[in-house]
Amino acid sequence: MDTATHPSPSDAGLGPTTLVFAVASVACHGLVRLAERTLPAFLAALGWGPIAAGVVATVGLAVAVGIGGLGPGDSLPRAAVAALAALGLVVWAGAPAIDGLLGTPLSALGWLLVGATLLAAWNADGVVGPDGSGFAATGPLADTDGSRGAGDAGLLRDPRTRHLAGAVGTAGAAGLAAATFAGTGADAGFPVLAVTGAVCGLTAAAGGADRRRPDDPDRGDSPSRADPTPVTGVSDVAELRREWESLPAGVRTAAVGDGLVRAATSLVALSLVLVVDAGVSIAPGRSLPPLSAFALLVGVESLGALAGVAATPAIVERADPRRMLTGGLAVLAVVPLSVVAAGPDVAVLGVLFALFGARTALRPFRPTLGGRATAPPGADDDRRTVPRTPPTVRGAIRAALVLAPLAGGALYALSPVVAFGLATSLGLLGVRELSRSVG
Amino acid sequence: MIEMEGTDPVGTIARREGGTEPDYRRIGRRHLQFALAMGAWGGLDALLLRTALIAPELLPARTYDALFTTHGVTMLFLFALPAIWGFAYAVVPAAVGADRLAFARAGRLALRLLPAAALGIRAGAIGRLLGLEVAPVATGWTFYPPLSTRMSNPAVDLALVGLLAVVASTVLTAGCLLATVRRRRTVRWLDLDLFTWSVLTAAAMAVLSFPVLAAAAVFLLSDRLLATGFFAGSTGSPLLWQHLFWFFAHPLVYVLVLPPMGIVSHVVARFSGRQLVGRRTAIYATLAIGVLSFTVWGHHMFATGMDPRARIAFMYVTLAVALPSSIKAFGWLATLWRGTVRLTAPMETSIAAIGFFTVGGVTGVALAAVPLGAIYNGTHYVVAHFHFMLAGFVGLAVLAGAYYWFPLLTGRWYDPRLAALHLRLTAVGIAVAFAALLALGLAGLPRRAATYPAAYAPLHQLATVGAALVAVGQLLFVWNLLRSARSGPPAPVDPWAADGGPRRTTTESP
Repeated sequence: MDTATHPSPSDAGLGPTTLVFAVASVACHGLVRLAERTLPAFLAALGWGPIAAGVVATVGLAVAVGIGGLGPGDSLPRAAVAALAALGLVVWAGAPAIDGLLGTPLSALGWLLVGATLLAAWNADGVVGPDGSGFAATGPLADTDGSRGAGDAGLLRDPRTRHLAGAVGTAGAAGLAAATFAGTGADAGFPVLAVTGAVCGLTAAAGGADRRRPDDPDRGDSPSRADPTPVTGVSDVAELRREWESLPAGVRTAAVGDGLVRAATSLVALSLVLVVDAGVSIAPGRSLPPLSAFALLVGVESLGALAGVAATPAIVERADPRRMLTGGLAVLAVVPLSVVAAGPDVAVLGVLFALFGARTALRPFRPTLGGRATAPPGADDDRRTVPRTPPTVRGAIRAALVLAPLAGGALYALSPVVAFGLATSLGLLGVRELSRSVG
Repeated sequence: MIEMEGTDPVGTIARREGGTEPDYRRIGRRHLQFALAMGAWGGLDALLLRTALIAPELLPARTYDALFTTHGVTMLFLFALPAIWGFAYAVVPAAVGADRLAFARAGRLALRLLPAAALGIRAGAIGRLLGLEVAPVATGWTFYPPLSTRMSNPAVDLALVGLLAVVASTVLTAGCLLATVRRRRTVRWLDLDLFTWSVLTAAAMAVLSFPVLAAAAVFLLSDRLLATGFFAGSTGSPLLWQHLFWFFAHPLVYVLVLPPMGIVSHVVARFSGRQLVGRRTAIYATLAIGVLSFTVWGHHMFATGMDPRARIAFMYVTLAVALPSSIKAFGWLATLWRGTVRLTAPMETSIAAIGFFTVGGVTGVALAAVPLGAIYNGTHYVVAHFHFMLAGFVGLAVLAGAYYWFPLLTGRWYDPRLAALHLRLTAVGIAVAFAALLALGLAGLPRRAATYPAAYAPLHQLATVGAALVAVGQLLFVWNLLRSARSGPPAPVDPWAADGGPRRTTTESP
């Protein structure tokens, strides 16, 4: 056959379909994140409190962590992951009414739990990958150094690219959410976001249906072949204890310190929308509904995350990792209480959200997250390195942090000041531990 | 011409010859460009009305009424009709061996009338955008009195004038095509391809049915502007409008359905490597549908208090239409059976269209039965049935035609992977959207209402997801065609010859 006149699919090029797949995936990712972040407000509109939001997030995280701990051979096809995410979003959108339609006894909360479960594969292993935002503000739900969540067609294998894509998607979705919530409340606006996300998810599923996973055995450049990274899920307790006890004291302290900071972040991340919803209704000079303001703040947070990711190479190159780590996490730790103290001042909130998002810049240095927490090439100063925890410990920390959103919700139900104050205390305690280990 | 693997006079003759574009090709291309633009506008209406249904705070109920009206009128009169006539202009003269159009001036005038029709029909929306004191028409695409006679909105008058322009354009086009086949044909009648037969039948139906719409629209304008009483008042009857409207509108549906049937017949035979099974019977079935469609308008009016004997008569003739339609479907399936199927983009699109034709047909048969029709006529069931047929069958068949004739008309290939993605999104979107509406209809939810019980929200949300998927798919389609028309790989004179074409797989059918 004359390929010049009769092009085969491969001759026609992968460009356009890959582009559609990537754009749809990034958009879906952003909308999933926005839906997760505004879920407590949706639940509040349905008459449920922050504890219910914590339950949904904790269940979603638990399933996602379980999926994240599976080996690469157990991965679902990309199209299936995207289709499940779309289904999860559809279930979320219709959660308040599905009982009325089907005659089931689950209630809106039950269907939201079903939706969170369906979304878990995306959160653990989505095309954009585990970027540690949304429910998983505490950090990625799978080991980003591993073979999971590495994206298709070589697009999103690099963790930095994943974070950039995730932040871009979230920023775009934040714009859409701000416009939606400007004209409607949480009860009607949330389904619009979820439905839009479902459309993007199904588009990604259609676009990804022809694609092979990076770990497809037929694929020669499969990372699972090239780099058989071990599974990083939670192993049994005895093994974990042995590994923990074999670690140097400094590494253990660093793991505890960083774990505490991650717990602090996870305690409040879900409740931020409730603080803004309760306290911010008017931007200077113009009327802006609270949820619309929150969506814009999430957009600012994404821009902060983008800036953090973009600045990472320069920071890794030039900064002192230990000072960067302790200083940066100290700033991150005081953000929660500052949010409560800022009240309705949108400008201050914008700065705080941007700082919250910019925590991505610290990722390479963090003992329980970073993959490159070492000194710059050529540096021989021992003090310019930070400890790095092994995969088993990371998996255990991920599993332990699953309960953080539920605890955060319960604390918020007691009092927002208590929840956010405790988060700040916990974060500062973590920084103190870290500074002991790296000081 | 007989549809056989390896030969395609339609394609080879229709290609640009000597660098000059024949007049029929130019008129056809412009019809298609106009249809594409109007399809985008009507599609946007659909997306907005779906949004109004899932987020009523964003778009009020009055806007919803206007959106479903403008969506319906735009898609039927400004998208589907021009698209079908566009393919007919571009392909039929070549298929019958004509070197040019008969009455080419009429064809050009028909084309020029289309923008005027669009301005009239969309005057309300355009005026609103310009800040004028008009609102988009909110009568429903059926313009039922007394609603349409009582509305003071001048956009209703302009829309009726727009419809008159559509009538004039359609009749001119139909006359032009009929005359071209009659006067300039160099092919024997029975050797005409099935697409040409279906266009001939549709054109004849249009010449007979569209003047009825013109008369009804003039009467309605007269009622509105001159206070006459054709459809309202003590002397008039709103039912008279319904009789006139549906006497026109049911044949309209077949004017829209028959040429796509011809496209599917052509494509299925072409890529099954054999002649269409029951080809001559299919031609007779086409003619039978044309005749029978003028006798079935009453089934749209089962709930109007019609005489029970008339209802039974209308029920039987409506059920009778299912027979020639089934013959068509049987012919397509029998051709696929044991054919050497090449799964090219037009073939896959045609197969999907046949699937939706089956669903649309079966749901339509149920509506033809008096007891069911009376129950479901006012519900979303009708919306689902109609869209399975119009969006699922007509829409996909038109897309199959676009994929089939694109390399023939432009001399360039499109991206087959993007086409496959487009088909996947469109087919899934249509299935999701209208299956959800079918479920709503079976639950008895009334159509044309912006509000509904909360329990139905998930199904409306699902339908919105499907509609948006269709929209995403069409964006990819337009992108693919624009990109390929500019920089696609060159296609040979007969791009679909047995050894060529950007097919994905070849398979032996069982």
